Amino acid sequence: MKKKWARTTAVFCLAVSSLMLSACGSGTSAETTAAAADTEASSGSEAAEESSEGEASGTTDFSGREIEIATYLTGDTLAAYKEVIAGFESETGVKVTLDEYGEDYENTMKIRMASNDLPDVFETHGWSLIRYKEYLTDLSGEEWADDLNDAALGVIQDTDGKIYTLMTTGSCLGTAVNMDVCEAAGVDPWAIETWDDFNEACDKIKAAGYTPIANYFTSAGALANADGSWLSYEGAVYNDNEAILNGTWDWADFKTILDYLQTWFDNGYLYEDCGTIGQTDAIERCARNECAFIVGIGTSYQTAVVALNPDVTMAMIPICASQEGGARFCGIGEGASFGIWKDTEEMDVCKAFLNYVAENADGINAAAGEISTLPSETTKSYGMQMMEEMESHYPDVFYDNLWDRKYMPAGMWSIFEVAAGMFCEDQSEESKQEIIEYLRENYQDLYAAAQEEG
Amino acid sequence: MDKRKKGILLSLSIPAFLLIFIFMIVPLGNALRVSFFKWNGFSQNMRFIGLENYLSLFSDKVFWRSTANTFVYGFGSTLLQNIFGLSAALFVNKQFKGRNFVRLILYMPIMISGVIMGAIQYYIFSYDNGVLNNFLNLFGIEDIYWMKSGVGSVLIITLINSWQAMGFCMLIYLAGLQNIPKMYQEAARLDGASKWQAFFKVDIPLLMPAITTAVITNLIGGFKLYDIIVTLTNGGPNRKSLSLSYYISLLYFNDEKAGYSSAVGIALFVIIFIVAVPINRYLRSKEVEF
Repeated sequence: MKKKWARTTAVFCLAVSSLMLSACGSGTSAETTAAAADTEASSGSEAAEESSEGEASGTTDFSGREIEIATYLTGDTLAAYKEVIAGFESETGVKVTLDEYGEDYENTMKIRMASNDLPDVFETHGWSLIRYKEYLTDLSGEEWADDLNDAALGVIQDTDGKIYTLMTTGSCLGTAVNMDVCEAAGVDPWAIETWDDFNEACDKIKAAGYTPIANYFTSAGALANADGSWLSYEGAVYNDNEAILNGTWDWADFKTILDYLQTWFDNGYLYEDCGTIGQTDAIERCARNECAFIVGIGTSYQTAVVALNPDVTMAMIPICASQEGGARFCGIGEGASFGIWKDTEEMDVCKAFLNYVAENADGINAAAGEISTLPSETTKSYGMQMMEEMESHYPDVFYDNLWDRKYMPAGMWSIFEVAAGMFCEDQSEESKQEIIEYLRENYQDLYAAAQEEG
Repeated sequence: MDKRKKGILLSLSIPAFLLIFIFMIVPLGNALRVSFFKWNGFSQNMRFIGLENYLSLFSDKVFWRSTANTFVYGFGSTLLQNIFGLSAALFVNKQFKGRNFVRLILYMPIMISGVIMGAIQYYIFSYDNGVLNNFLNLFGIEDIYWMKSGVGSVLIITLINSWQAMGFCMLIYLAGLQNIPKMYQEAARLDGASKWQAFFKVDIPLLMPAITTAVITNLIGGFKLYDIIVTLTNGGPNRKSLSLSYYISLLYFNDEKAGYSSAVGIALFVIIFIVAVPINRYLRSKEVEF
């Protein structure tokens, strides 16, 4: 009997281990909140004391102090960031512990938010307002805040005029173009204005034996990034901004977008395996001069393509207008962006660190290949060069925050990801209705949750 | 056993119980608690919604599809792993030159992490420039989109998982075979049993403890399959090759539905418990002592 019980217990334990996945990092409790409040109270006074010591000595010597920084950066951008950190350490005597989370960054940060135990400084990667705001320090009073250009402020400033992150580079999202493929197919990408023009160009590219569009439907971007073209911007088919933002929007209008995207499938513009590939595959194929466009992607894509094959000529054009006279636009999102945990015990050190980053961000900007946002950034990155080239052809390009970040409640990105997969699998009318219903339900749910959160 | 000895033995098990309590019982309790809330997984605000997450399970197509996949991964992998593993064990149990090398080769895949195995297989089964398609092209066969459908992806994942874990099964069966005294086989053969009869009537019953261990371990491993799926199909196409373990992770971290994810976790726990306990009990009842 005892033996049986022992065996049953062993099986029970094995089964319990399956739950570890869902149970980790879910420690939201009154205790943690209370502990955080205690920490805040004590850290406030400690920080004030330490700060006054620093000021009394009239230097930025923070010897003996330590801060923890978390980053998702990798490769050259991380190397550039490390150089900035090393410079700060040697100048101030601060010891920095750098957590390099890489691809696990978002998941790890979610766990750390749940336990209300965040790094002193961390990257906000496009989510300073929607996801991280509750945990961030208002930085609008910092010196560098006045230096941020309008493109950056349009993305990181909330309705009260507060900003919570130092955005050293911006990500510019448009349509990536492989100029070599276009040239071989006799297509002038600079002449593309509307989606009809775009499809005409795609027909020519396909006839020349290339794949016109490398968009992949494993990403939400395939369904979400270009939506402003039909729904939100000047001259768009619908002007639904207000309704989208106040939660009264009728998702039936979304069918226009699905109907258009269906032409990509019907006309054979996409890769056969567009439902299972990812960005790495798209980059590799573009570097092999196999495909022409990818719609709704940041300039880091072109940077990666050229890194793989320096002989490829890449460019960027805006996302098309849904009809003649409509706005051709590019989305601007947070690139390398750094915020400070509101409950940090080292507030003065963290602010000094961000000041240092703001003054020395040029290396990060150059490595990231994105667009500059601060006057200290003098290197014209690859992304910036492409943007300037684009503006010389399209002087009236319209810039806005990334569509989902501006118009959708938090949590919709993953909903779009699922919907993209559904659409890729089946573009029938029934499927479209199912997708719209799925988007509507989740939007309403998440909108209500966002309202509750305030 | 005197009381003092009992006390010592009991105290020796305290660290194990403590670890099980901290890393299994506490998370289980926490998952159960969270499953009654609507929570995005990181906010300090949680809203109690009672059984709503559990009721949502019934109308969630992805949950049922993932459950079906989980059964395929669990039972399919167990079946294949045990067939391959036992066959391999019988083969390498014989005396031949290079036997140790063959054992090593057969055991090697299990030493590779599931994540890396999935990534390697991705490049083999890829539609565009995949190793397998390139090989088939040599014979004039057109590219095949192996992972176009959910069924194709699930079968490929099951096969790869079975092949990878086969070495583990082989090791268990090899140990089991080497523990069977030769006299039973010899006695059976003297009594006129054929090779197959001796195998099924003598070896298999005496291998039951090894079979129990292999089946239960493989079954639970298959039910919890996660890493290969992440790098091979990422749950696609259209979330059709998800296992429940991966679905739990996606719900929690990607979809920001931590409460619902916990409810799915509890469901997985119940499924594993309901399936593993009777199978374990049945297999144990078939064991013989020698």
